[in-house]
Amino acid sequence: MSNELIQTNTAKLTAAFATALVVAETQIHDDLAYNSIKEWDSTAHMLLIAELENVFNLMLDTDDIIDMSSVAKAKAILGKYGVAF
Amino acid sequence: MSRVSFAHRLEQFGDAIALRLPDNSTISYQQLAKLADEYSTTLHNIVPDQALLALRFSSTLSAVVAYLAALRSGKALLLLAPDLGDSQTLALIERLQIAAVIQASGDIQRTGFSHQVRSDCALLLSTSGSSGSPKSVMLSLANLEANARAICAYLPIEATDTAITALPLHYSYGLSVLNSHLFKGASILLTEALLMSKDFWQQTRDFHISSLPGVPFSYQLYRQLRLERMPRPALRYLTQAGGKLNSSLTDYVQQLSSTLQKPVYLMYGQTEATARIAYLPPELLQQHADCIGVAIPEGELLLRDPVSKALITEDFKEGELCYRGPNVMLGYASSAADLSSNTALTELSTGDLAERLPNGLYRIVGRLSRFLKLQGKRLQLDHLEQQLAIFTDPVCCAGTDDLLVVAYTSPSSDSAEQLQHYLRDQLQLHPALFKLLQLDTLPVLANGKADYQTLLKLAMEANNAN
Repeated sequence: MSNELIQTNTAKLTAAFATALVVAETQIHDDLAYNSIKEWDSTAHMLLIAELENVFNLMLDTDDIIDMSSVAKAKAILGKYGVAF
Repeated sequence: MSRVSFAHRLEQFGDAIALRLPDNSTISYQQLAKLADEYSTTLHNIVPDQALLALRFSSTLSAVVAYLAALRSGKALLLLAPDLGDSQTLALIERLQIAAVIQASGDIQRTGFSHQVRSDCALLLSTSGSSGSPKSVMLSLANLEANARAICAYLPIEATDTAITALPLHYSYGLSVLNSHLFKGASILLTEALLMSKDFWQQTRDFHISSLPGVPFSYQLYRQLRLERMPRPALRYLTQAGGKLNSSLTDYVQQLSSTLQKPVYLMYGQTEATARIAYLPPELLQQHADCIGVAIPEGELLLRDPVSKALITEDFKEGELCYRGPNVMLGYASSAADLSSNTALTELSTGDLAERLPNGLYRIVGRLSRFLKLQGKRLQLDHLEQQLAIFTDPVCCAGTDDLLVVAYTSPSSDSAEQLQHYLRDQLQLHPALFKLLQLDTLPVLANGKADYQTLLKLAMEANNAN
């Protein structure tokens, strides 16, 4: 996997999080967890899933949606769908 | 004499399990009665008779015990969101002269106030969910008992069922799930897990949860999670209330019901009627999902001309939806003085416009009063305008149940920031749920009143342009 692709995917992921949570991209880091900041609530989580499915053009399994409890976890889950970080 | 409410009859179910906790421990009805009575003694020793108490009602054992203790010992109780902010809590304490606040842990904090509450008032619920509005609904034990009884008559709740606290208990719909299951001698799992979390869905499987409730927003989540693909053999039925479903969610609910081969009950209600007012019999879901259905048992729906208040008897004629039944509240309380009023309401005006179809079903066609239901939170727009006018004036609010529109004229970026901050942090609205519009002038009608229709149109255009 090329570095460029990984960089693009990371940028897309960061942008998707920033859009759904309505926070600055600088606030998006691997340790950021669901419900740890008030911006990442159920509504934002729902928008986030829609955004990720849209940006990476895939459909997440139910188990993966409820498992997506942090940015790092999101990367690991998306990895299963062939999105490299 | 039969015991006055389900809270007073806990013992009759003996060793049956009343509450289940996420750590797998269980509390029988007998044990729950004993815990409640022990807590009543504590309350009795600390709090003056007939004074108002408030409870931070988390979905935990200690909070449920405190709730039942208050009902059993005749102490008037105001239910608060567990995370209600300090300043909002303080404002409520002063406004309603609350004598003590029970924390979710069961700890009791005295305030020094001691105002006498009318003896038939058992429970106070906020009209606006978590925003801490001082306007509360006063309910009697008879109200709570009647609504639980009616719910048990039309929903297929069985003594062997286990419900789950998918909705907050300080919210009338969430509370009605607890009350109706206690009425029937069934169980409820007390979980604080969020609807979108892994824990919650594991619990629905591991505890063999028999029913799922949901406001429109919950059904958005169910759709996103693709609930129809989740194997949950113990799940027997679903319920929906807390606002009308939009057309795409209606489609989803119909499809969900037929895919799962399980009934979904669309329900209509208001906190002013304890919780439930009407329901759509589930066999009518595919044909009549646009209707609220029929009155709950023991209740009666009627339509009145909004101006003359005359009864409307013709089919397809629009009027204000009114309701009569034993679950209609005693009245509103916005101040301590209201708590000692002796009002008794026999008929509730819902503020919704409806019509009756020839088959007897009622359908909502509009709304008389200006409020929105955003994710189950009721926002009174006139009240909101007053609150927002502190930051920028003039300000005007309109919207739909999907989007709140706030228009203002001040070009200063401070105004926008303050509005944004208030809506997001105080009212806990996600920015996708509201639209701020800075306009040169606010649209007005020929009579000088705000033109909400035009405002809404401008907002939709601005939203589409983005």
